[in-house]
Amino acid sequence: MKSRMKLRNICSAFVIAAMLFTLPTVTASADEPREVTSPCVKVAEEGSGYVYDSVTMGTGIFGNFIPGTAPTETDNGCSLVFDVVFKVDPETKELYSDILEDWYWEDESTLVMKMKDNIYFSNGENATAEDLLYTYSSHADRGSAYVTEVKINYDKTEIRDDYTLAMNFDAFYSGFYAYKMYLIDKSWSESVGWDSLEWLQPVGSGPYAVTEYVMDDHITFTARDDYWNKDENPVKIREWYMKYYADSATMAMDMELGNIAMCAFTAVDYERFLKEGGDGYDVYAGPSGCCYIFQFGFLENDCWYDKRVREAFSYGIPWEEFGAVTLGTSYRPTHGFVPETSPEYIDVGGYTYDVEKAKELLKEAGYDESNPLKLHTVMMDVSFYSKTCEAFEYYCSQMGVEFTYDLKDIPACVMDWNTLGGGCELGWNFNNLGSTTQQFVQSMTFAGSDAGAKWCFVDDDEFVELYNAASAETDEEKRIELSKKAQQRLYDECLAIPYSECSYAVAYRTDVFTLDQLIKGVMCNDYYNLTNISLASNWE
Amino acid sequence: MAKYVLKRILLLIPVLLGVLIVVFTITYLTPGDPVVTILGTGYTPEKYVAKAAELGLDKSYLEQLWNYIWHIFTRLDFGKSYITNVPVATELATRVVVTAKIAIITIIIDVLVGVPCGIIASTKQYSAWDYGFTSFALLSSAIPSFVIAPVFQVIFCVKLRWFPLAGLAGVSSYVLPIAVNALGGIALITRMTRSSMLETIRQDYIRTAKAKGMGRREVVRKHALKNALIPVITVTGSSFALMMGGALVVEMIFTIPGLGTYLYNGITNRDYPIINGSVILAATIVCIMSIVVDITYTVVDPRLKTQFVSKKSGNRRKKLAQAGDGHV
Repeated sequence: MKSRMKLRNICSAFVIAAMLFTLPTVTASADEPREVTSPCVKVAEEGSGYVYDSVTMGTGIFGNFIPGTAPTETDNGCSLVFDVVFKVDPETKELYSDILEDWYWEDESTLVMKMKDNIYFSNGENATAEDLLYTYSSHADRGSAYVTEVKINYDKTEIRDDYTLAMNFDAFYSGFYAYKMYLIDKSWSESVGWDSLEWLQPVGSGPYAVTEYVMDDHITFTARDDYWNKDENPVKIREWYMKYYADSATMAMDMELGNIAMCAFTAVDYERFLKEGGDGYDVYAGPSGCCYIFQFGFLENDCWYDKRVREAFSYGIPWEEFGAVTLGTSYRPTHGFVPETSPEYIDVGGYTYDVEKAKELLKEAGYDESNPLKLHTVMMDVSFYSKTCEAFEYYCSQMGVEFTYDLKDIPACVMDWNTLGGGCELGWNFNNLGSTTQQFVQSMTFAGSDAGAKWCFVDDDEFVELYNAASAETDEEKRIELSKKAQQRLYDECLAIPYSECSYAVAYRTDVFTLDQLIKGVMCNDYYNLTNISLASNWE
Repeated sequence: MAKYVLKRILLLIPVLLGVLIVVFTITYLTPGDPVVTILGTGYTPEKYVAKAAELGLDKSYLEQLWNYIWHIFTRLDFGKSYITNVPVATELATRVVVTAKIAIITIIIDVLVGVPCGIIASTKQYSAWDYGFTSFALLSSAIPSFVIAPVFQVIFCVKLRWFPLAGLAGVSSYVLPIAVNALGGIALITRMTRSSMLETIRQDYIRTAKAKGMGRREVVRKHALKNALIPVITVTGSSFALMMGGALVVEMIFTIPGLGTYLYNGITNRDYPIINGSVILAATIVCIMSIVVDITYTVVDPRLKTQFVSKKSGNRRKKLAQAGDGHV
């Protein structure tokens, strides 16, 4: 009896303790207003010249600062430490440069770039035309992912004086201006070599310097007192503290708590939960300058050379529904291969969903129930592709098409993409780097040759001619005209199907930044130009 | 005993060599190319060849294997990461400290909580305590850490704001990762202790001890517990070794720069030096832990010391005992 009483008392005590323990959880619901202290920011002292002494942001990408070593390039940091050769104004979409006084085409193949003479790197060295040339040639030498499309003829390229470079092209690439070319100090780079750990705290001409780098933890960037462009482009944030997160959901939660001032959402799922905004934070979803385009892997499956088969997929898949299902809140319907805001935009027309018509077309092409069309592809094992493949499998089954797919990790997948016979008979192309210039050739990468991912190549002679001509055209008006023709050709011959504009999402603390500052600062994707955000002109 | 330990340490070399060859071969044969990872999608064949030569990946399998083994055994050089160029040995040295801190504290908590819970559950079998602890153990084992971790984050970090969400800045940031890690270990040790104790307390000598008038607590402490601890020690040792390999889920969710995330990043980037270096380190830790467990057995149960005595000295002691010198 006594032991039973004792046990009952213990149980009661346990229940009461549990209730007390959970009471704060129950009462503190997400709807209740909570005081936001935003520990991600330290406000600067008056008279210091800064608005914020320190701002913490979140990132899921860490690497060195060697430009062009994607996917490890810490782009967000590069924009603080280095000056970029060409930039695009996010509002006017016009090209400009902080480091060039002027640039012009001397003839069809020679671009003359005149540098300012007062650019200095953080080690005190004056930046010259030699450094500018090295900025481009080092990519070619290293075989980096950049500048493979643009064919610079280095033998004919001249350094005319200390600050004038005449760059000669065998074939110009109109996406040249959109490359994020960070000005590198040639002598320093050559002295340390590409393998050096000094690239974790590199010499650059940008307004910030890396003062601390802790692998997989954080990087600290501090404004330079000796920044050469301080008077023209003063910055209002003294220090950026870039915090690393291995898990994007954890990063988003920390943003919600106010421990970081901004972060990108590359995972579509989590962005949905913060779409409504909340206590002190909001989500900005902006266009990245490219589109999602469904492409037929001509080189991998001969069936695509039959226009009826391509038409079947144009009409047999409800592309608007497909976009909504696979992209969720990121879906931005389009009938173009570039965003609507692009000067190269053309509404090529859409396809009306008609699955019976699709079946008829397939039957005419020789595919029916007794001989179904079988397709296979290999995509990356990431949320976007797994959803897309799953949805595509369903819609294919409605048409009587047997679609199978493999999801592999990035290195294995890219190997299959780049190999003939790799099994990628179709795919969904989008430029994950985005495009500040919103050009068609950047939206449909590798479409004009089989040099890259094989399934991206559009094997149509007329299209390839138009694409490569647009790519090499230096005159903007002519380029726009050629791009539009190429896009119309794609639609008329059902060579590729666009279904959504690409977008990216950035979550930010509304008590730290205004939306206007964010838009001015963000480039085109989750690679922000943090220097732009920091500029004094954005804080007036 | 010392000879035994030395022998075990020397045996590490062929074991690690075997592990190295197996891991190297598996990563070599796995689809995916680190050169492609570095160069991306737009490289030319010439660039591919140049990069492969730079990384030494254009050599034959045997040549690559030999170079790797030679560098490790002569200079403890595990190479550099293909992606960051940071020497693997340097990174492993930093990260093993981080992971060790969490693993050691986790194991201590596992033992300090799990063993008493197991003892209570076994001595009060079929009582509310027993049902409570076994239910808790079952629940903790059933719910995976990738579920528990985010739930803890939402409750303790987002709602209650008691602990930081990620990173390892300050003592409070260790609490949740250790708690998530410890739950599974407590469950395992509780169940193991309980079943081992139940077996032990049914032995004749325990009944004899009770009959002699020894108190319950004394019987458990002096007689039952030591004999019941052998399987618990085994499980604890293997748990610690596993944790030192890196509790990947916990490290990813709480952004802990430990061995687990390092190995994961190495695997996804096909960064062979990182993969090989991390696996060798994990194998070394497992081997060392097995030696430690064997030594711990002898502390708990001195009878087990005889297994470490060599045949020769064993025979000599027998003869002396027979001669009546009193040696055992």
